[in-house]
Amino acid sequence: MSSMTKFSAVDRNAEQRVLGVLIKYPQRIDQVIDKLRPEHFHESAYRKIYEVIIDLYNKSGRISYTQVYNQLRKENIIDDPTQTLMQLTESFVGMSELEPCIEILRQKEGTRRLLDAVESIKELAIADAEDNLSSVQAKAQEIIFAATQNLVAAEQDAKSLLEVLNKCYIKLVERRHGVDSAYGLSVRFPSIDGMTTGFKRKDLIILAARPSMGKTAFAMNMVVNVAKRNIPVLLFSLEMDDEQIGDRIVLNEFFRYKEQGDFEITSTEYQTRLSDEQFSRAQKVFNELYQIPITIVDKRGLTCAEIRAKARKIKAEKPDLGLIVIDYLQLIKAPMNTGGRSWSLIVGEIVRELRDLAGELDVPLILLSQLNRSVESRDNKRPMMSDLRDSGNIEEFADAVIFLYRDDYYHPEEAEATGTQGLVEIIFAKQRKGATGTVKLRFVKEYTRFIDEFKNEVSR
Amino acid sequence: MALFEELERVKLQFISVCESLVHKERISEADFDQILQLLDNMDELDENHLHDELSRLTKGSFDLLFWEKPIFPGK
Repeated sequence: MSSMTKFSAVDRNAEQRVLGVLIKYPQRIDQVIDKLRPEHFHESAYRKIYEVIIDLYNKSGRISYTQVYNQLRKENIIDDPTQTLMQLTESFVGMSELEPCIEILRQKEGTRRLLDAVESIKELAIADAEDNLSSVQAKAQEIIFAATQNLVAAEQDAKSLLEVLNKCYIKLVERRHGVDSAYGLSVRFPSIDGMTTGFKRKDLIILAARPSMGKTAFAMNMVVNVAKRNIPVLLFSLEMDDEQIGDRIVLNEFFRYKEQGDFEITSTEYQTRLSDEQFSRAQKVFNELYQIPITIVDKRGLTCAEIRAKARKIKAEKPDLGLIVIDYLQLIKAPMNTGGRSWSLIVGEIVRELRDLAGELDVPLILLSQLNRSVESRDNKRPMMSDLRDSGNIEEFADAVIFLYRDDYYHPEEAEATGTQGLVEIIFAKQRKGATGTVKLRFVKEYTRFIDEFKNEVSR
Repeated sequence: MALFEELERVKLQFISVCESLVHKERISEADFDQILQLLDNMDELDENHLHDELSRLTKGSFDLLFWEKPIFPGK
């Protein structure tokens, strides 16, 4: 940082004045404690004095220069505490200076962080020049994001019950009047929506199953259903590439022709050669799908930091982003420096970071996950919460845990005899904001399509 | 400068001198802690009592340090 920028990013006088006012009028501390962090002070001595002031205030509510001096002397951090404190007495002007000086400190601190971020990105770009460009870009975005966040957002953290109940009441009235936005995000499966009353913003939803249960297909069905209502959706596909996803979406839509009963475009036909009629109908489907706002990131080996950076970028471009889906957890790459931690701990950290991401971006985030093999060794192969437990206590961080289970996968003859082929149990094993229980959908494997043809009977 | 700040400056100067006495081993750390306590609570103490206590703790140096002007303006 040049001396000129250093000069413009620091106001020593304002730092002294704030401390002078707080020592003289400790009763003002309650009003500033949410707005001011030690980091707002550039001078390390003043930062320490601020910490001491807060500490003394929390302990006894009383502050004096003598007490501050005594504490500084005990901690032996500042070279000349008397001289430093004398400067504070000299700079004191009046209590009215407090608010403007705090604003100056906040502004200067923000400027310093920006300048530091610029330096860090510059160093990063030079030092990691040999690395993968997208990895460097992701790190740079992280740095910029951190530098542009307000150091203190605590003013919104504490809310009175009146404020909170006001919000609840408005939602209650909106629901009564049938306003759509009063609910969570509908995925247009009445059974699912009935259980969840819509996926809630900031929630992390774990969708887990053993392989071949149809979790990607189910997630894709929900993605398309949401996006068809012109709500932007972001899909991270760490396994399937963009074309595979596109084909699945298209194929999924062809099911409508089969449902109508007069026409059909099968998966095999789509993958080979279509007749004129089929081609014309396929074009119609393509034209409809062109409109829907789905963003696909199909890169393999993404780290959590890269996912976060990309999600933030998309959110900045599409502020009304309504849903994020990640397919799937076990394919997220661990960070380079794991510090010798176990895989289970790392998975736990990834899940926690993704939950924080959902909160930060204010969207529901559906995270697909595989289940461990212990399911297979049981007679009853319906997944249970304990099947997630070996993977970093995922369920602790999740707001909802949903399992998919298809009995016909394990007992095909029985399913054929009873006509329960394609029956999928959607098991709501955990819901912080709703009931647990099971609902059923039908899976039409050829079209990777889930349909809600059952009465909304919830077994709890 | 307001009276409060003026008084605090004098206290800090006095503390600084006392600290140098600690370094010269003229007074003990325990004495120094008591001096700080007295200064911190001086508003609640009788002036004569405060003077006597400070003289005792500083082994008489207090009188030499501030013989020209009273330590507490306005008193």
